[in-house]
Amino acid sequence: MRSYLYCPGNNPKMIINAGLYGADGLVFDLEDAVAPEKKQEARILLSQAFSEQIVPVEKSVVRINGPESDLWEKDLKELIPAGVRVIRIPKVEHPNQVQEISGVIERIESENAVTSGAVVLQCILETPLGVENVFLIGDSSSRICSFSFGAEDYCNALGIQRGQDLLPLDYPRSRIASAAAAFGYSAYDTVWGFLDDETGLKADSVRAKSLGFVGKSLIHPDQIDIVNKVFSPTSEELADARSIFEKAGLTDGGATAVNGRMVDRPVLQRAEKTIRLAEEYGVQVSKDDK
Amino acid sequence: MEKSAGNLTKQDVLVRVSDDTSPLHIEIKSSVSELYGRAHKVVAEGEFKRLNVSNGSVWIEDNQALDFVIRARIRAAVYELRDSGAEI
Repeated sequence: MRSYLYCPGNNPKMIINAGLYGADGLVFDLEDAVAPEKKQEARILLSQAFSEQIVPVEKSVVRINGPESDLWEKDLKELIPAGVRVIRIPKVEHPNQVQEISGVIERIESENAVTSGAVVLQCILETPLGVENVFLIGDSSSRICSFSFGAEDYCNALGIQRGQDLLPLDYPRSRIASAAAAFGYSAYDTVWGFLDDETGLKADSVRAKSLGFVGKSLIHPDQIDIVNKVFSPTSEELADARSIFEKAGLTDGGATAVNGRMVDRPVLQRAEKTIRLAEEYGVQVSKDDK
Repeated sequence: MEKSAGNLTKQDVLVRVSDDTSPLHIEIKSSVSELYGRAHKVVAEGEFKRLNVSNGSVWIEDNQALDFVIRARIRAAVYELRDSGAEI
């Protein structure tokens, strides 16, 4: 998934329309986007939307209320029987939080004849403690499939401003992306909150991609095209990958040189991945890059 | 006691339910009642039946909500009422 579009969990119009804009994935939010007194009705609205397949279930995720709240268990009890299979947990800081949530999910799966392990978890790291514990968190449950970075709370905790200067976020991003790679999970970058700043969105996305993220969370449909483009292979990258793959494929599998560059197993694997992603996202080699 | 769920923004519905002991009475107001009034009534009655609600008064103000929204808002209002100790 290159783009995960957030959608408030208590807004029927947005829920109905969320799938129309071209985001690879959707995150229906029960946490920050829902007022405390509306939590129950949002939970029920989403449950109904999933069970009646009003939303594209196969690419939809629900962000539940955080582990520190007394709401996440109610969220899971309502949503899993309705067909939600990907849960995004905000503000994860300790492995035992994920273990506790996994245990409750296990019970709900069993009580509702859902295949054991069918529900998977996306963990959001958005505090300094969560970022520091990310390797411990990654090892805490076999249900985890991805990490996400949440920059707003992270910046608040550090007392820094989120803005054009991307450097302060390199450390948490690198740590999260590295941990994700260590466990074979996907890493998704934080939202870009400046809706009118498309240049900033692009720069932020490029930076995240360069550090190992495969996609980004979004707060507005207008951000989808930019993010999808950044997180897709470019025409040039595809042409290069094909060239490597074709020429290296003629050798006996050892290291070789293609276009003046050493190509060994990791380079070949990367080229393969680029070609696969380009096919998935419909990227073509332009005339200039042939 | 009365509880409500939803609101009057586009494609939403405001459902108010009170727990009086008279047989269930449902009133629906909608800008599209000529076209969908009967269908809304069927949806609402079905949801109350599923929730085993046979008494009380219900006011539904619709702003072109889909059926799943009507069902969800009814369920939320009934749960709110039950959470407050009402026998409905």
